[in-house]
Amino acid sequence: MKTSLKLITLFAFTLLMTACSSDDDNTENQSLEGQGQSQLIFSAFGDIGCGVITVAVDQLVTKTMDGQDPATGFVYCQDSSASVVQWMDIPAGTYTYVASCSGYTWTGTRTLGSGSCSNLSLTVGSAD
Amino acid sequence: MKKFLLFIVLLIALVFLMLQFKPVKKSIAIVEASNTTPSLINKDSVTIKGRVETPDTYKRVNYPKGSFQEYLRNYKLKPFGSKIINYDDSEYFWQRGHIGILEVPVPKNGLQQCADALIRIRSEYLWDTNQKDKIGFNFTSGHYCSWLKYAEGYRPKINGNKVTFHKTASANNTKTNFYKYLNLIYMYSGTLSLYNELKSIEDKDLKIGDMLIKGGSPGHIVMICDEAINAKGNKLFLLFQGNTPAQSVHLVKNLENAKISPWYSLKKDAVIPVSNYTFQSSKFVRFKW
Repeated sequence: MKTSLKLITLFAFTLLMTACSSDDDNTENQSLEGQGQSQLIFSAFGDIGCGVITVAVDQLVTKTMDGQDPATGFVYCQDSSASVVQWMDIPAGTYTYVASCSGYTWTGTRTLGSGSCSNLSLTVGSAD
Repeated sequence: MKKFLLFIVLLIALVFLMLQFKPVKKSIAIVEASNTTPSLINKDSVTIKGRVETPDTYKRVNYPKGSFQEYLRNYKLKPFGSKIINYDDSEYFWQRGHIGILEVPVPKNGLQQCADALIRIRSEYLWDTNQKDKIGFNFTSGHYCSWLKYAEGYRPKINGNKVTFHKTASANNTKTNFYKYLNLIYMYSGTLSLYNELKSIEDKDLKIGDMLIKGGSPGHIVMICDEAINAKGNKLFLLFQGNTPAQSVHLVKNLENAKISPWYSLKKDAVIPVSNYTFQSSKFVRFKW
């Protein structure tokens, strides 16, 4: 009987530890949400051919996009690649941006909800 | 001692059970999240109206038979899955932004770019409905060039930014000559001329045939080709566009809102990404007639 009880206790303890592990993940996510895990992503549609693109966003560190991939189209948040500029885990709010490279400037604002992702495609229009 | 141990085991089991509720809730949430929005695309249909269903609670806005609005929403499409082809028969490098290709030929001369494609569709409607006297567009210089004058034999003489018209050709009212006229318009008109020439429209007044425009060189323009409304009066729109390089005119996806894609909610001054182009501050215009 003693042995059975020990086994049951050990089994229950193992289950408890497994459950705790699952809960830890959840706690971590909530904690990140509390700090604001929104994302802001800028990408270039194709090769704009204007050299390095500098993206300045108020309240955030200015970043640069060194290379533009001619095969890259619109970049979704879930498939952001190396050729994007991104800020992860930033607070929700409205951000004013100025993106620029040789001959082109893009300005505007992006509003991020809590835990959301905003992806802006930098594009150049048609000649006509 | 045995009773105490049993109590501990039961307590641990109880705590374990309680902890399981959260993962269960999480699982339900994941299942709900993975329930993708039903597609609004009908792959078998070959018209704009048939290809795209309206979202729940929305219905199409009615327009008179024979109107430009009905003409556009019933425009023929190539079979679903057709690719965007450039004027030189190469494939456009990005094929993920469209859900249909309009049955509009792409001339090999490469002139039929973004604004030009919309000018063509508008002009063909006026031609098909015998409103040829309304076919005319401003050049970027501001000079008006009408089909009727061109058909009479008048041709522009362009010297820098100065344009004069002279009768240098014989009269020709054929469709072949009409497309030569359009080539001339493609060369000297564009998003900038349309932006300057056409009436500005508020977002609350938008209807099929109106255009979202960024006038300039470079600029861009897309046309509203269908319209749906709900009981609250909120409207959604479908858009098509031409592009540079000259290529297949295509019905675009909504890249930012998969729930209603390919429909768009259009607001003045908003940032609206449309396939290959992001309108930073949206403005709208309407053809004069």
